[in-house]
Amino acid sequence: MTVAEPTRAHATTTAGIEASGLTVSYGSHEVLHDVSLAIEPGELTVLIGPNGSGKSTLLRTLARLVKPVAGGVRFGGVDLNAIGARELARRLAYLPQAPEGPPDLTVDELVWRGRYPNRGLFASAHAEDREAVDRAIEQAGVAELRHRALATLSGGEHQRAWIAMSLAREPEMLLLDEPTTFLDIGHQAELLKLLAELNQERGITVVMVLHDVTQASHYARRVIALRDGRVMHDGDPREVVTAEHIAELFDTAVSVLADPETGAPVIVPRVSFAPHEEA
Amino acid sequence: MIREAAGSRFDANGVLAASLLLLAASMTVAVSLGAVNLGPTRVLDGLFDRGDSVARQIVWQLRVPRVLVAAFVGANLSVAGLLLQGVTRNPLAGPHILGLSAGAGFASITVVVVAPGTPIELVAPAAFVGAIAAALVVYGLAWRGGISPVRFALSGVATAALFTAMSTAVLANSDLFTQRVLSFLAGGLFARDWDDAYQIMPYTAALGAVAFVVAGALNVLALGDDVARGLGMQVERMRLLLVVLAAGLTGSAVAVSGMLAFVGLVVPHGARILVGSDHRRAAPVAAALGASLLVLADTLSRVVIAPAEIPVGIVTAVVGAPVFLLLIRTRT
Repeated sequence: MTVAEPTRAHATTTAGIEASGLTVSYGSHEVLHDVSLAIEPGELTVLIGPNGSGKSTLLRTLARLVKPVAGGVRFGGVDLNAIGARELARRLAYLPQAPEGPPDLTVDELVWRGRYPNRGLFASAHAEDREAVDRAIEQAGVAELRHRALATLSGGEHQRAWIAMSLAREPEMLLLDEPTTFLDIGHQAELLKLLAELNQERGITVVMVLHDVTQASHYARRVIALRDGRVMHDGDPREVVTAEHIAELFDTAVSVLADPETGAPVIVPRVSFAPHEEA
Repeated sequence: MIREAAGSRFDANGVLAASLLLLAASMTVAVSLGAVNLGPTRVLDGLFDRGDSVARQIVWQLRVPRVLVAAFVGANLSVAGLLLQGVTRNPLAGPHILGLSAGAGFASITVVVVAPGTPIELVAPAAFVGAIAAALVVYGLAWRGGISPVRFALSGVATAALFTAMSTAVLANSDLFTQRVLSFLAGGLFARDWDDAYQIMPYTAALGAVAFVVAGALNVLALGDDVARGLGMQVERMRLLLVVLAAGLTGSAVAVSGMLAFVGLVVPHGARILVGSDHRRAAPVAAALGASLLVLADTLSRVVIAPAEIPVGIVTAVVGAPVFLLLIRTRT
């Protein structure tokens, strides 16, 4: 059922993902309409859009957690449905928004569970499992938290522990749904830096949903804007994130400035509101 | 739900060793005590067949098989509870609350009442079928393109009430009101013998072994459905397998002991408090602790008002209810 392919065991391999004509419905409500896009291997792409625009559904469809009613997805050039569950799990790691594990679980135990696609229920731990777990813990920067319970971690630490869990299988692609939710700006920046490094240094393809458009513009080479289940804009952040586009996507007036250091777009809301004058 | 930090956990192997020691001690006490006060010398004479035929009869034909039945029943219910709490991600789940015991009890009662001549070996398979039927009813009621743990638990409560009512209806329309039939309702181990031990033993051994292996799947399910699917697990199929497994463990237990409340609810918590939420470590500990608990409870039920007996189900309820309330107050 799977096409013979080169061994994907090493982290240096990477894969792209391609959606064509995706239509997804929840009951009678159509969430995605005829969405097509191609993510190249090694890209870091951010999905933006207002609440209910279909960003999370698109991500879940790419991860094969949602079945489209029309259209299809190809991962690494192969039809997603032709890839076995365990193989897909080894190659593509999906991290939902605000994941939750048993509070007394240690970071080490969590990361070991991330090896499930490689080991299954029956295999005992091999040296390569141990190495992969050690590497994931090192890369996500949670080595000093290794034996702490999840309940004792701060929001940023918690999120990095889950990233480590996602890395333990040594995936070719990471799909992340709002990984920075509930984090303060310091921890947001730290987490996005970690993801950018994983993308650049290990070549892992990263697709993530972010709420903060300025952040998206800062870290991504490509931004895809969705609204009402359709791709509205797709490309370099400087082209996608303009005052006009943002206003029509989010129904709110903004100014877009250029970051004095990088030239990346920075969003400033322009709402007619005078906060301090009357009080 | 579980507040312990990792550091407060005990070494898993040490806990397992201690649980097994506790089980051995409980069984020793249980074999030594009973309605007839033999004293340690005569118990040993009976146990090692040293010419005391009365003691030998009491020890080998009455006490040992009954202690074994209690141990197997306790282990089965506790492991079933551990599986169900894992599947539903609900600390208040258990074979009794989710209706599996009631389904098994209904099947056993129906077989015994409708066909009183049925050989005892057929009661366990009937109870097994009853428990699985109840599990499937619960599953069917909760299914809506998938199973949510909360819907599963609520459907279980409704199913338990339904099967209990059906059991009562069968009993109310029958003039057969034997000790055996009664003990299905209250849960008792009165006069359980080698036949009963042989009945449950293969279930405990086979299903217990499978449970130990698939307990690892609960560790993955505990991370949430999306994460488990993303890790390549067939979530719905695995949940069904685990529920059927729990039904088998429950059914075979109910066939020989009737419906015992609280054992399958309380013991899994004890196991997780001691070794943490790795189900693979918790499963053998739950089995050993559950076995010890029921062996001790049954001993108590035999000696408190000897030579009469209290049904062991009443002992487990008296002990289990306050422990359960304590758990609700401290751990949820």
